[in-house]
Amino acid sequence: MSSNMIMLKSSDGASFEIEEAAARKSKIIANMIEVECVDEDKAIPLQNVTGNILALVIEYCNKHIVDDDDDVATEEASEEEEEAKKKKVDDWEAEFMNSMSLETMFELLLAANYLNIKSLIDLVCQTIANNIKDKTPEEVRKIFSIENDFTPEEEEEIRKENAWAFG
Amino acid sequence: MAAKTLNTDSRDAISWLPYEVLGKILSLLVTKQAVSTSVLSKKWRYVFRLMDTLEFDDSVSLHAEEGEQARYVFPESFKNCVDRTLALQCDYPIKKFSLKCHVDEENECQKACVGRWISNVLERSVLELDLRIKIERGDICLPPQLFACKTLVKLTLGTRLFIEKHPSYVSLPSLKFLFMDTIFEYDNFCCVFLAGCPVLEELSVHHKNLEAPPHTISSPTVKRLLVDYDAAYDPIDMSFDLPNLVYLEYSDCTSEYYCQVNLESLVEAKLNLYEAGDFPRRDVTNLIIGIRNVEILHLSRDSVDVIYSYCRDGLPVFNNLVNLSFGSKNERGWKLLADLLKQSPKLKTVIIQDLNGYTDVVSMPLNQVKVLHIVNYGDTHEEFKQFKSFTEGFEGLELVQVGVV
Repeated sequence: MSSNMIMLKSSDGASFEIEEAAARKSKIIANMIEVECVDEDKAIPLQNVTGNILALVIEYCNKHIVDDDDDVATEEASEEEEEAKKKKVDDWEAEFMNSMSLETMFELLLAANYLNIKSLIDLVCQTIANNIKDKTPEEVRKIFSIENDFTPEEEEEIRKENAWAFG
Repeated sequence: MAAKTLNTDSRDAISWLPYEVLGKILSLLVTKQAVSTSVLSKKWRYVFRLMDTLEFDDSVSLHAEEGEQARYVFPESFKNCVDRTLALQCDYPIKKFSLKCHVDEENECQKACVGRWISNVLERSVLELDLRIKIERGDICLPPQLFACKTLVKLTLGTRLFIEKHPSYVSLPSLKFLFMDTIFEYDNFCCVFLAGCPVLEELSVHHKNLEAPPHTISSPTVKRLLVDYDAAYDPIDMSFDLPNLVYLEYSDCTSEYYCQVNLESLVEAKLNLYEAGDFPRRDVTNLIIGIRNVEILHLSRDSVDVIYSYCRDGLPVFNNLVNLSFGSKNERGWKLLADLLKQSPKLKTVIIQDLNGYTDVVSMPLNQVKVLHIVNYGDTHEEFKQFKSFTEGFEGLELVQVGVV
């Protein structure tokens, strides 16, 4: 495994050093590396990502690159070991998502979307979906501070339009 | 998850996520709830149309109406919701469409709806279709495009469907998984269907409480096959022609005779053959010869009895059999096990359910089995005596495990 280091620079000017293998989790950065537009002593500027969010993205990528390494080392791992490893990753991901506020979650999702890190997009989307699951529209509005800008008549009309969904 | 709420600075941040991301989040919810987000705010009114996974399931209300279950059909509100959602989506590509509802057999309009919905998603590069349409009697007209969809990878067709007017030509070039749940067969529909699936890997055919199960299952590509027939309506002659099949799970009470059994590559087989109704089996010899290449074989107690009684030409040699899992309910069963031990030169592991009914009347032949598992073993004096007499021929035993699989 190459341990080339790459520099990333956040929108607020913070610099981060990251292993190339971890950075390749981002399709955007992987593409930049492929077409060799990464200058060895210059940081890649990421205009849409702030330092605190980029730190989270890097934490996620580093964690998952380590897991990929494990896979190579123990190719003959038994089913139970595989399961135990998967559970470890799941636990880590649950703890990782649990430690952040909803605001951070949205910013992280925007960053993952911008950097095109599919597994991180999936993880955050699933976490947000879990927040919505089985909640009434009123509860969803409250959780996400969504302002109901319908008049009661309009709302009644929509409930009628999609009556099955509200049954 | 503990309810988190947004602080007022990021009011409504979720509404400003990119549309493709919102679509992803909504696709992770049950469709009913995703549609109900239309009422959150003006911005959310049509966001639900971005879902790429649609699961319209009316079977919940179907159970709610228990007293009148037979008369229950999908309500107008269900129809409106599916119609509206599909119309709002225009021609966006769709990953999965699932439809579970009960159709009124006398209502042509309802039947036409179902056909129209299926046609709609077939035109939108759908990958997975799960159609469980219940109809008491009569034909539901499935659109012909269903049998010529280039993108479809996974298809579930059920339940109790009568496909009377199926097309003579089927072409599903991407289909890998097919599950047919109680499809009434005309003109050997299954054969025509399978011939049009050039990359099919897994096939599941269930047939419950309805006459005419598929009687010929033939495919050069299928690797896993699960067959479950419980209908004791009429005896059928079965054929399996699956030269690349690796795994077979087969539960059946109706087959009388096996015409052709070509399972050259089979590695693992799980058999549950039993007798029901007034249709005794005639002969299972061809089936047993057909699975003789297996390495792993599971035989239920009923299967053991059926094979003992109806494998009329005797057992073949199982040259590759290494692992045998076996249940016996009477002396005939133990006699079959003794035969199997003789016919399986490479057998290493034997798993038996219990020693119930074993007596020293049947002695096991000398064999080289290394591992013996007895799943249920009470360790009584009687069982120990049975165990000692049972294992007399097991000369090469290295490990005996009891109470575990």
